[in-house]
Amino acid sequence: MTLTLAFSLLLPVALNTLLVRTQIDIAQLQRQQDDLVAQRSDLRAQQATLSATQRVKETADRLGMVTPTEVGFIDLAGAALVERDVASVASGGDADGR
Amino acid sequence: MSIRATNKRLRSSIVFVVVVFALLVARAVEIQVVQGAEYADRADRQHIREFDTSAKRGVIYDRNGEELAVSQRMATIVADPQMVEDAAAAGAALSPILGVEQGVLTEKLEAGGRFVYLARKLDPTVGDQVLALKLRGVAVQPEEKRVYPKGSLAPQVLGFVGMDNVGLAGVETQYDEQLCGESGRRSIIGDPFGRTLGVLFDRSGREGDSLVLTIDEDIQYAAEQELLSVVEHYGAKGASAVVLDPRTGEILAMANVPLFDTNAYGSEEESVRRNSVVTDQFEPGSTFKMVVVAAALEAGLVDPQTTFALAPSITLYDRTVHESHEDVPAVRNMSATEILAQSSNVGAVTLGLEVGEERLVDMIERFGFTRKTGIDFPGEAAGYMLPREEWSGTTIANIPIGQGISVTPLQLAAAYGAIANDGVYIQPHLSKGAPLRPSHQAVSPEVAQQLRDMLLVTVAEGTGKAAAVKGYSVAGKTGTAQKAADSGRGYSKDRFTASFIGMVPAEDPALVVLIVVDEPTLEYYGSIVAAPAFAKIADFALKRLEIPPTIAQ
Repeated sequence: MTLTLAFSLLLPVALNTLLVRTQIDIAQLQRQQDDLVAQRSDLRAQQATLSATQRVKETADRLGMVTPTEVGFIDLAGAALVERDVASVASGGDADGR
Repeated sequence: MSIRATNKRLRSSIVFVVVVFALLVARAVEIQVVQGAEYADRADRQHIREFDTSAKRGVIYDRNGEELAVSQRMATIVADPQMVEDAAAAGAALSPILGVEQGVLTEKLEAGGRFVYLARKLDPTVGDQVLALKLRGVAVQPEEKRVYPKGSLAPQVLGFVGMDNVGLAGVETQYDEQLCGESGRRSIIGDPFGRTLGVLFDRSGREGDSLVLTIDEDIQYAAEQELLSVVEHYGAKGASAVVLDPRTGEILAMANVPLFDTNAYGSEEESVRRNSVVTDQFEPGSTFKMVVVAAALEAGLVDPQTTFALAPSITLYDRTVHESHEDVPAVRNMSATEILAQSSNVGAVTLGLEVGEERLVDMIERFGFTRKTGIDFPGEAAGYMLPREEWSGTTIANIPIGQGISVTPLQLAAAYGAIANDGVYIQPHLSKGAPLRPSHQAVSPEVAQQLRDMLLVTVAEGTGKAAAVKGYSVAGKTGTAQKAADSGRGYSKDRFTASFIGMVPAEDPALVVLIVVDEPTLEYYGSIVAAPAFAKIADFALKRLEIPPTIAQ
């Protein structure tokens, strides 16, 4: 009788212990997930910062690049060069002016 | 020792063990059953923490998918003052890590209640350092922080959010409901040192929806850099620019200088934080002459070639309007086109008198002046003009030359947008993908075409030559307006607003660009200060949008 009572009282303790252990595991996984989500946010912000026009321009300036003074447009319908100075485009001028 | 004595001892021992065990069981029953609820409650209060998890705010993108505003997970340090054993020691340990004065922290930790913020939205590594201290009653919670990765790009347009991630200015507040999402709720079991042992429940919040703006990051940047250069070169107080697609009403750039880092929005002065393009009014000066010419054309009173004999000045009651330049002959024959191209004050007033008050006011209203454009941006100004019934005899001499009326740069850009768009006025806007914007026919397509042709002459032969863009035809108008005197009566002799507004390519305009320079000191004519900035910004935007040249070189 006493042993049964003791067993019935100790069983919840054991179950609680198991439950807590599982919860700790879940909490760890949750923390990992949170960390990864935070990392993703960080990387996203970093990527956006690095691709900022200002930074790209500063980097380009540092590397000695210049904005092309002439930009050529090719009229595909008429197969004609609308504006001259292909050389500046061919030598690295970016048509979108970035 | 006899067996009998041994058995007696053994029985006594068994009885003793059973009694002790029974007592332990009784105590266990008392703890778990009789007082179980109370203890459980006390334990819960010590170990279970329930708090809101801030919803991740939606990302703001430019029209090409570049992130202009994102959210980052940060560490917020909180405490349960009742669990803190030594507030002074905890304050001393936390102070150097959090960068908060020890006294402030100690005071918070000694305060009543079960929850207090010690520091919010810190770098996650700071949170790790706090947890490493293993301070009883101190915990770390994740919280979202708004970050503007492009730094000082379009700070007045983007606005900012408060500590609780609620939009407080700019598009952040205009689209707060869309961006903010819904907070979640999390309940955790923690140890006394702030570490999480288990999660009881985690109701995820709803991430805010993203917002795509019509702004083009590159054109915005180019406009801001050009304005910075103008302000520095001409010693101006500030400058604004708008780049508008007249065919859709989309704003490709809305720039204001001085600039500042959007991430430090809260610490900037109100005057710098204002999006002047939308919230500030100015007397437009000569750029407004387009309205009186439009009214005359629309009424069929003149055509672009109709010629007027003009004196160097014109007097109406006690008001005499002079030409802005002194070297003017006694009589000049000027066509309506030349009046616009040479920006003749006398010619504009003469046209105003021809048109009359009623038709002039009608045209002003048709172009959307004196009422808000309805742009999706908070705090828009409506502009101001005296109600017609309050006009004096000389008002008709002021309005045609852009005095006695105040407009916002946005209103002016939208009005010229109507001319560029075959007379159809489209409400300017900042959010891409918004429903079709209201529009109306401000002037007939024929009059719009005539105005474009006249404005083309202004750049080709008139005051706007410096606005020419190589390879493209430009139609536009210069503006030089005296600012109101500080006394409140008359105009200042040395404070001006220089402006230029134009459209390009003039044959089929894809862009309307407005430049407004506030109080330039080195020079003050719009033709000198603002027109070259127009040319540079328009040139960049045309190439950026890959719009081919319209003039063979």
